Formats: sequence, C-alpha cells, structure tokens
Amino acid sequence: MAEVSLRKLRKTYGGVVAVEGVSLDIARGELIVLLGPSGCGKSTTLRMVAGLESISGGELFIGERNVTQLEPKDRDIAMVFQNYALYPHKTIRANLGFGLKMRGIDAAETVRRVDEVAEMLAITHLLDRKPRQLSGGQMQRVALGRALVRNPAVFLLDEPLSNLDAKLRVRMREEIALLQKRIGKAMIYVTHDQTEAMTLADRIVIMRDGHVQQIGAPLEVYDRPQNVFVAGFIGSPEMNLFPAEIANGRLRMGPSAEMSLPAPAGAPDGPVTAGLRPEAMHVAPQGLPFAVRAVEQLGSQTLLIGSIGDLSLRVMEGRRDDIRAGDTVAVSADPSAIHLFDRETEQRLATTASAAPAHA
Amino acid sequence: MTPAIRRPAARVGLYFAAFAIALYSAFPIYWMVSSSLRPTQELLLNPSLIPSELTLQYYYSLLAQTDYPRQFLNSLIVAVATVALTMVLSVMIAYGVTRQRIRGKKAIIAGMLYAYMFPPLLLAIPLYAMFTKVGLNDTLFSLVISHLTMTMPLGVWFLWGFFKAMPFELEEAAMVDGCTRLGAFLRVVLPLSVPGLVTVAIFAFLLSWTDYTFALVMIGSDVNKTVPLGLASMIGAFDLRWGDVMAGSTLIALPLFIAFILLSRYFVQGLTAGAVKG
Repeated sequence: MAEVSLRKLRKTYGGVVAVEGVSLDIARGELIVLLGPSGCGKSTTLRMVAGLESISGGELFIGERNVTQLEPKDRDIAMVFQNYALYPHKTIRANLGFGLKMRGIDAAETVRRVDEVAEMLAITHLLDRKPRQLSGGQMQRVALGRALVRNPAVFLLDEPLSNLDAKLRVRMREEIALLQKRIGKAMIYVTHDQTEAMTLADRIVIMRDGHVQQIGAPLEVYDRPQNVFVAGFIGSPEMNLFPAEIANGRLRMGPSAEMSLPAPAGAPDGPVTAGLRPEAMHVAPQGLPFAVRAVEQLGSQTLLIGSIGDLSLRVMEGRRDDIRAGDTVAVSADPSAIHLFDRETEQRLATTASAAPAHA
Repeated sequence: MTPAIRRPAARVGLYFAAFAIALYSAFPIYWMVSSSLRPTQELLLNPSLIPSELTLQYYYSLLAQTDYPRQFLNSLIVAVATVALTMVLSVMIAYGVTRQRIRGKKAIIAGMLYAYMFPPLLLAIPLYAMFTKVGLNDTLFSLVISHLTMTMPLGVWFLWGFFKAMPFELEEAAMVDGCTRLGAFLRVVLPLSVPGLVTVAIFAFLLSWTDYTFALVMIGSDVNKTVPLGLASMIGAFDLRWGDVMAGSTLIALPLFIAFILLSRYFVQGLTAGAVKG
C-alpha cells in the first residue's frame, strides 16, 4: 500500500500554473527524487506535500488519511530545508528536541531520542552549541537529525546538499542513502542535480514547467528517456541530440549520404531527432570521420569533443593518451544505443531494438 | 584592525579623541546632576567643578511642594501606553507587510516613512482640531495618539527591516515541527527579534517621554501636564528656581538611564542589525 499518494496535485498562483496534475504513489521505504531545472515546480510540489503551500487542486494522502487540507504540523512529515533553517537562538539539543516538545513528548523521552539520533549522526559533541558555531556539514547533520528525531511517516528534503562543497556533498549523499535504507521510511528528495538523483533514487520524477515528464528507476530513465527533454537532462556528459533522417535502414546525420549510421531495427522512415550518449559512441577502426576539437581527461575516461561534418558531438572513450586536439579519428555507434524522438512532438519513437533490453 | 591603530602614537590619539567625545557628551549631564545637588548660593554665585557641599533640598521641594509627582505619573502613563501600542501595532504591521501578500504594501511602507518626515508641529495643530471634534482634547489619551504618529512609523520601518532579514524557512521549520503559524511567530520570530523590539521600545519611550511640542498643543489643564511641560512652566514663572529645574531634569533622565543600562546590549545589536540588514 502507498505510504504517500499524490493525486492530480495542482498549484496555481493567480492565473499562472506552477504545478499541473502530478500523480504519484510512494511506497514505504521508497526514496523518490523530484528532478528538474529551477522553476520546474519540483520544490512547489514538495512544499504542497509539506503543507507549506496550499493545494489548488487534487488530493494528497499520507497513510490512510486525506491530508489535503491539514496544517503542516498535522501531516506527520518532517522536512530538511536548503538553508537548514536551524533555530539560531536555541542550542543544538533544543533544536533537535523542539518538534518533540511541541508534540508534548515528555522530557526524559525527548532526551533519550535526541541522544540516540545525535549518536547516529555523530553530532553528540555538538549538542550544547548554537547553530552559528557549526560548519555547513555539521548544520546539515543537525537539520537531518531534527527530521529523524520526530520519526515521521514521510521525510521531505529540499535541495539539502546544495550549500555544501563538492566533496562533502558526495559524503552526505552516501550518508543520506544509508540512513534512508536504515529507517525504512518514505522520502521525497528535491534536487536539480541529476547525479544526486541517479545515485540516490529508487525512482526519479523528472519535471519541467510544472509537468511530470517521466517517472522511473534511474536506469530506466537513463535507458529509455520518454522525450528529448529527459534525454538531455539525464546523464553526464549530456546526450548528443541532433536532427537526422531515417531512410533505407540508415540514420542520415547530414546532407551527404555517407554521413550515416545503421538505424535501429524497426525505426520508421522520416525526419527524427536522434540521441546518442557519448558513452555509446566509440573510436573504431572503421566509422565516420570525427574531427577532435578538444580532449578532456577525466582520469579513467577520456572525453573527446569535436564534430562529424557540421554536427558537434561528444564521445566518451576509455582512457586514451594518444588522441590530440586537431586529430581526426573514426567513430562508430551501436545501432541499439540510438534513441529516436519524433521531430514534432519530441516524444520517444518505439523501435524494436531499444524496446527489448530496457525492462531487465 | 589596521596597522595604523596598532602604533602607540595612533593609539594614544584614538583614546584621546574618544575621551574628548565622552567628556563633551557627559559634561552637561554631570552639570545637571551636580547642580541639582548643590546649595542655591553656590549654584548662582560661584559654581565650582565639584560641589563643596551636597543637599537634597530641591528634590524635597520639587516632590513635596509642586505638581511634579503628578506630572511624572502623567508622563509615565503616556510613555508606557505609547510604547505598548507602538510595539503591538508595529509588530503586527511590519510582520504582515513582510510575510503576507498585501495589496499596496510598498505604499504602506513608503507612507510610514513620509509620515515620519512630517515635523511634529505640522501634525499637532490639525490633530488638536480633530481631538476637539471628538471630545478628546486635553486628555492623556490624545497625547498617546499624537506620540504614535512619531513612534509607529519608526517602529514599522525598523521592524520591517528586521523581519525581512529573517529567513521564512525558520517559521516553516517550526510549523513542520508542530507549531501553528502564531506559535511559530511567538516561539521563533519574536525571540530572534528581541534586539529590534528593545530598540523600538527604547526609541518610542524616549520620543514620548521627552516630547514637548505635542504636549504643549494638546494639554491645557495643569492636572494633565507632563514633565517637560511642567518644567518649562517652572521657568516661565515669577522666579527662576534653577535648582528645582535641575532636580526635575535629573529625574526625567533617570528612567532613560536605567533603561539604557539594562538594555544597552540588545540596543547596540538592534542598531547594527538594522543598519546592516535593514
């Protein structure tokens, strides 16, 4: 049974639609990531679940209860804010215990639960300090602790890692993933960082302009993006997307007939938008001439930036020390790795090749 | 600290300047207090820097033989009422303007600033006319309302900056943690605003307590006179009792002294917070 159920949630400000018809069932213990560029409505959706934004249309269920009209305090949720929002005038202990105190939990029980959570997050030595004496990473832990201590049905996290430096972000990301598995509660996590989404999520909800674009497991959205937007948003480096033409079982990438790759099986003839991930292309003994403009060494991998004809592309290779900017190399791609989208609607086109391996 | 200040000569210069400024500000206060304590002879003929002999005779005569206690009480009633109303109203207005979608909130804030710019005398005459119409003339209440025209714009303006600088997420966190909107305000916003509230309260008290202009226009009868008005009329009488006036002035300053000493920590915080964030 779903722990949280969003049913056609809608948010309008005056005449402007911010979120349109978001429906989603979240199971107990599931980590859902809302992903999208800024202004896509992901934070608004989260805040509607929290009760911090009123719901303009649709219904929200947490457990068995319809909480659409309830105050945040009555929804059995906890939230971690981007700027942590720790109470500056209270000690860390008081910050952690505030939610319990508000719910009338007795002092001894509060102390026990605060100590337990503090130990779990390794912040016991900070309990008597004030928030301004803490580093960003420590404040982040306290913010997490304040949510954990309440033991709610749902955890809501609004870009919790975006104020941390890169290294700390990766570490906290791992910790959040481990914590979430350990406590086994539903969690909704908002981010604009597709790497965070891919690494954390059980399922990703990709949003744009208030509309859900696709819902799926990380590899599902990676392997079978439903439209051009998702294809471009998921994956790093970005997918190569270019206009192409399918004719006679070949994918023509440019005006001249030689600029073509074998098309995926079952692809209909006509104009398409084609997508090829950099990691699906490789340098081969035979293939299309790829003029290398720049070489980025990533350590274990090498990213080649260049073009085939007029078409700018990126190719991700295993480590190569021998290719220089200005070289021309032959590249090729596996036909089954080509994504095809309708040129007009930008929706995914079904091909027999790509339909098969995705549902593994 | 810049290198210049670390050099001894520069340091001495700095201390000297600070001392000079302190002396300049403190001397009139010292003179007021010492004059209120020295005998009339010495006060009028050869006032030395340090009084040769101390007396409480002015305080005695002031409190026992004049209307001063009555006036002091009037001033206190007016000032306390002004502070209380200023706090309640400006907290509500400033919070509403920062946190709610209110039509024309820019106009409210701008209006407050313009209202503050009007000289008291310009407001006093029409206000008096209005109070007469509704039968409030020559009452302490009319004086409280008059003082609000100065203190409320100040309070709204100041607290507006204070609330604006406070992240709304703090209240949201409190609401998620189990507070109502009002609870979040009382448990999180107000405690964090104490420096601002203290600053506004002190300013409001100061303005009301020392006001002469409004009191002069609004108050006619002796029973409703406030201290500044009472002291002034003492000077205007047949004899000029400097000792009594100085004793009265010292007593006026006393509550302000006490307030500043107790609250200076918050006051400085509030001023700097307002200056940086407001």
